[in-house]
Amino acid sequence: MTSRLRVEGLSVTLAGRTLLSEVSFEARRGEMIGMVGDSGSGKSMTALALIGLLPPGSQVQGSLNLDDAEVGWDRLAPLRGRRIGVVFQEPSSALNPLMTISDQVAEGLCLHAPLNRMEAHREAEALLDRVGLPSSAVSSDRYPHELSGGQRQRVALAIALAGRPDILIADEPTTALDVTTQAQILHLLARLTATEGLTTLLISHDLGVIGGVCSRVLVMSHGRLVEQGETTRLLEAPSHPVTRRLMQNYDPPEPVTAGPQGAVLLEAKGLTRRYLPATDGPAALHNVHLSIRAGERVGVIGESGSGKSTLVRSLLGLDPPDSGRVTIAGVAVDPSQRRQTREQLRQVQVVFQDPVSSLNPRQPIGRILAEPLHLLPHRPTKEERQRRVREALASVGLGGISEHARPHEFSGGQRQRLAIARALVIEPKLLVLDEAVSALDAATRNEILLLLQELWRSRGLGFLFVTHDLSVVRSVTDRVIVLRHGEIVDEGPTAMLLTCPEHPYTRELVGATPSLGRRPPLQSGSHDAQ
Amino acid sequence: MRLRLARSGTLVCSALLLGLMLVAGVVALSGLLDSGLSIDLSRRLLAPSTMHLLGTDALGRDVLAQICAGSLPSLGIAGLSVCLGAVLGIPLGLMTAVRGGSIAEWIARANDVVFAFPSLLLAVLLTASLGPGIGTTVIAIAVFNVPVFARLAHGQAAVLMRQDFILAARMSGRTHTAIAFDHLLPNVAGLTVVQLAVQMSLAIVAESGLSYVGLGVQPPLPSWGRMLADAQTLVGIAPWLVTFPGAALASAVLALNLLADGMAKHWTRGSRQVAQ
Repeated sequence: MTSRLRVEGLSVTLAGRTLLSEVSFEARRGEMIGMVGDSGSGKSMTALALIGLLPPGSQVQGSLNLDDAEVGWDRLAPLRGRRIGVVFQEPSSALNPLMTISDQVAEGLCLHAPLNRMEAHREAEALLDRVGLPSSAVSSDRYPHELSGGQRQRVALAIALAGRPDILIADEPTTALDVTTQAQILHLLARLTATEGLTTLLISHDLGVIGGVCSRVLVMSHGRLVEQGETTRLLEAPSHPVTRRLMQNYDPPEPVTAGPQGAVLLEAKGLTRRYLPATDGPAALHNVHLSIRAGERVGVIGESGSGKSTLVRSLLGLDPPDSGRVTIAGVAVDPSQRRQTREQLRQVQVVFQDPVSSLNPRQPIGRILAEPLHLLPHRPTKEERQRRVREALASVGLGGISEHARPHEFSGGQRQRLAIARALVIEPKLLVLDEAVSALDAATRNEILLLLQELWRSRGLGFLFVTHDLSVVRSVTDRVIVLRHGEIVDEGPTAMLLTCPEHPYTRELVGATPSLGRRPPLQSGSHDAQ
Repeated sequence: MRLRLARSGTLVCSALLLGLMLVAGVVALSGLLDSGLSIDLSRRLLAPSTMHLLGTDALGRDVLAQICAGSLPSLGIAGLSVCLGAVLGIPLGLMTAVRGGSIAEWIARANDVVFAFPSLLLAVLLTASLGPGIGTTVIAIAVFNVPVFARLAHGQAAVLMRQDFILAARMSGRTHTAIAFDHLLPNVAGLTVVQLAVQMSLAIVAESGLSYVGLGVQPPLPSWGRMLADAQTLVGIAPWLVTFPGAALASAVLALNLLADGMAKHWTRGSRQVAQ
């Protein structure tokens, strides 16, 4: 069988730096191939080369064949959108906020075929129907902001398909989406590839995503294609160390069993917070009850919009709830009582998601880490301050670093360790981790999770681990709470809840989570337009 | 860092020009130019020559000496009033960003009111009621700089307030004031310094305007604005009386704007490096 797309010896250099070197692969009609690798491995650069959008000044070598006819790398611009369609990661920025979705799809259609307004509109609706947005469920006169993230990604896909491409390039198309939506979009891509005879190149950092839907996998590392092969063969017997490392790091570390627990440390009763405070409007959080004992590790899982962040902010007194109350160590949280609040904050500290924005870029590490010491009832001496900072740094495995260094001198994983060290400097009993490992790559994530396990063992530190990622929850929590639309829908011991979920929503979440051993369920319910 | 600063040509040139103006002002103040500044009707309205490089005015005073002597009041008043505006405006903007709520809303509206007034008109009113003089001029110009800096600082700080390190500071029990000065001020300082130079160029023009209508610097202290006012009836006979003070004014304004430009570029380059 002839190949639809064949790349041979693709090399890209820019200003003396080699971005890609000797990348060769091919793909047939109706085939979906996956490209996986860490950030900076050259995945996106390959995609940009294929659509002729490399950064200006790039030197390209190698050959590109479409349907066995050679095409010059500088001749790709007219093919973009016609023979090669593209979908990017961020569906919200890929769409024009001021145009209806059908107009945007029609715009793509009119570029390639002479259509009048009525025809274009009709064609656009047909195309939107094919990507799972039938006009009966989602009017094509809607604007992007009226749609969910998954629906917007479907529109972006419809636009990519408007030029009737043979080849579809999807660069991290599901990274910004929830797991259940991700499974639906992946299913849609697989179906379109098969039914429309497309050749799809799916780019992702997530080996589980690729393994679930692609027949072949290409593994990238440092601008080189280090391994490629049939998915099942590659996942069973990876030959290259990079692939093996990707697979080893894919699953978070094994859990450690629960230990003794103390008295109730944090308790929330009937917590409700509305989007517009002091109104009867919709609630971001509705009647949430929660209690955490000292040394207990509790996970809160939920998709975007489930109220996770609102819960964290309400528990910590950063945003007061509309009704209900939070007690820490038996005393109600009341931000207006300053001295009492300080006492409570000494027991509960927090680590945020983004290691870049959680450290002040203008302050040296020593000063950043010492900040929580303001919570002490007395002013610490210089020696005490330094001792505590050094201890905190040592406990997160950064014993040797200079306290005068600034945050930008550290990698993402190190910054997250610094953020944890800052939380530990005051020796709290409970650490609230708000998506604390979601912005990290798999290897760094696993290091941080191991660190958390160690901290729990050595200090008896309790966690409130808030995340959208089920697999992470498994390795560091004893008990899980499932949040949906601001309400607790399920709750139970972690191992039980994740292995044999009873609640339908939990079952859906567990089923949609990609993993290396199991393909995500390709159920037929793709017309999920909510 | 110092090397990169030196490489930026316009930055150095404009800084040098401003420095030269200040030195000339100090020289004039020290009395070295007193002979040129004294009235001598025997040499009135002389055209530029080797004796009087930029000519003399209707009272026989040397134009170059007057420009030198006028630079210190012009730059000084502008600098003082802008700094006063920044010292009051920046904390105001930071505090409104940290606290939010109805007080911040009221302060923002008050800023709008000041912005809505034609600045020169209010300055004229203020100096007319308080009496002309250096102090009043400084206050009048400073009043208009407060909302400029308040708004600039507020806008920047409001973006920073959404960053997680502010939440972390709140989790450390820091007060509003501590957050404003420890976390926000160092992060807004760069752009504020740039704005300082821009505002100073505007303040120089404002000061000359006030002196032009007789409300700014009072005689016998020389001023570029008043030189222009004195010369306006003599434009046809002695064009140098308008040209040279006007050129001095224009180059000071230009130099300050280039300085601001250079600093802005330097600063954004620096912050990009931090981001990387």
